[in-house]
Amino acid sequence: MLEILLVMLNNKSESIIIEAKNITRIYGDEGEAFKALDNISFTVKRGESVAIIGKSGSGKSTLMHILACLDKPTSGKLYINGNEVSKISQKELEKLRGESFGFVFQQFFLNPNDTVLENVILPLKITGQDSKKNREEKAVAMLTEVDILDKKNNKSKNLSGGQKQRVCIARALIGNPQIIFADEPTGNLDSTNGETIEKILFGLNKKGITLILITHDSDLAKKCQKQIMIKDGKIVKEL
Amino acid sequence: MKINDIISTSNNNLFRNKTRTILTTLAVIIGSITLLVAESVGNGFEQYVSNNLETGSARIFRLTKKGADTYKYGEITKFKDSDKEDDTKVFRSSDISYLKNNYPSIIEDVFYPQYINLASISRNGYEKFTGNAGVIYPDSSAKLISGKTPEFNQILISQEYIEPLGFINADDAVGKVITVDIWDNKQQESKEFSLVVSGVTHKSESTYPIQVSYETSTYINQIVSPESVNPQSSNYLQIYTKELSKTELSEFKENLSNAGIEASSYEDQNKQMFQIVNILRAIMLGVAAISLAVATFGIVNTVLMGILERTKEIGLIKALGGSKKLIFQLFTFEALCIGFWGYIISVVLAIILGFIINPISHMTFLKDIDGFILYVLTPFSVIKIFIVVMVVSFCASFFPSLKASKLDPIEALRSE
Repeated sequence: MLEILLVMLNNKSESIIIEAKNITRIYGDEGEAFKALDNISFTVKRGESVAIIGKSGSGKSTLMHILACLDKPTSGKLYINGNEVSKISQKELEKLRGESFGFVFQQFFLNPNDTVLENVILPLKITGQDSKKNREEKAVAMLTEVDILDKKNNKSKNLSGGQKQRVCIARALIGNPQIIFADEPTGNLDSTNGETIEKILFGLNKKGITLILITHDSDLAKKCQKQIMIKDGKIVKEL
Repeated sequence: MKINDIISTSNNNLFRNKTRTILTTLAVIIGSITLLVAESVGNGFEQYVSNNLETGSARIFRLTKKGADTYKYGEITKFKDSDKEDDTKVFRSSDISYLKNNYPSIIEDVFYPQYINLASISRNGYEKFTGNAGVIYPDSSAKLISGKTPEFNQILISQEYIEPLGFINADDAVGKVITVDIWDNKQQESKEFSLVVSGVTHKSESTYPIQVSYETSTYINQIVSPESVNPQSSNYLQIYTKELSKTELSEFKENLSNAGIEASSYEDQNKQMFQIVNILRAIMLGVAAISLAVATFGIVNTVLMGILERTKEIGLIKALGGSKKLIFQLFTFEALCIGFWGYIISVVLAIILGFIINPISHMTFLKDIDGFILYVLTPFSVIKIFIVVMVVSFCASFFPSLKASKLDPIEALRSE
């Protein structure tokens, strides 16, 4: 029953997957409080690609952390799949992050001494899904998708930046996420590698995965269906 | 994460910084080995003491009257003429019936102590040898190399007699007939008795090399010194109790005490010996505990360093849905793995050590003490210390792991 409902939700491409309402995030104590985010509201539809653009210090990373449930807003409400995040238990949040979100980082955060395969399997290990054999099969499928299967037994520290980012995407994909959060995914790459990564990410978006892209690169942002421009913690432009 | 994934991940993480892991494991090994050695040597002492005292039964008591001048071996006291006439300090047959009638549910039997005045022991075709003979009371089992405790007309001999009496080994002696010469009460002649060897005991400092049952000694004494079987009076009585609970026993002792009679069992006498062994053991374990404490700090350090080095990884695991509990478990299991592997190596070394310590001690300082195995490593000790080491490892990792589990994923990922 629940599965049918989920399929229905997935098919209904216009449904809202993320809704932010008046989100404010204040760091520090009252005396030297710093407003990183100020009254931010927007929605993301299922399957949409959204770019959050801003200079460094604008608050875009803080926003991503809140959207990804890694941080909590000081005030305001965040809904994911219609559920209010502040009312979800810690355990459920962990499950949500583990099973519904995928993360792609600018600095990759691969375990350097582990093999590519081990790095990709990590999320499944954490959530405790699948048998060892199934995990490897899934990892191989993901590595094929990002075209880096030939390196599966290499240690990740021996890869180039572009290769590392592809492994990182494979790792984000293995849990079959609804949303991928990509924080400056091309920031550490040369233009050729950057383009490849872009292609992979937008390809995934076309297959129905919601893509939240955090970037300062307006050219990259333009390729998204929606652009949210942030300055000093406020939305200055929404396209 | 599944438990096997946690253990294998923790175990693999240990090999990331091999030098540090090896050094910490070494500290654990030193701590564990010291504990194992202290425990084994303690076991050795305890075993030796209990082997030598094993002829005692918890159901045999020696009764003395309060205030009686009991002669202690090697102790010189002033002779008092009045002692001879002091009727109240000795037991008479009336005392025996008093005890039997008053405590029928407690006392199984009451005996006058029996002594055997052995002249010599021999076997057909072999020379005569001297020796001391003692009496085994009911329920008292001697530590045997071979055979069983003696019944009527049977005898236990110590292993020292095997070669002189021409036996091949202990098993060979069992069932063979030997002859004992017992002095009569006037010590002017001796009478011969033929007894069958029922078993062979260890050579021991504290038990008689030749032992017969109470029935046998009564039978012999009736022939050689009838008055000792039914004496006018005796300084001691020996009683054999029924199976008693601790409360029944202490109640009985108190009742006797009120009647002016003191009762002490072999067990009471042994307690003192064991106390000494236990003090010795406590001192050694104390020393071992210090070395294990040092190892504890090694583990704390290793886990802390691991957390510092892998802050980003902790952040990543949390971002990918890992819980606080998972992070805690990952680092705790790392410490447990160090403890586990360190202990496994320690046990192997401790076993090897046994093959070195025991032969060397037998050739040198324990040369003259038969039956004293200095180093006894028992499975119980191995399991007991295993639990200690694992608990210590867990405690050592507790606070560092807790700290790691509380790391904020954003901060952890941001850290450079």
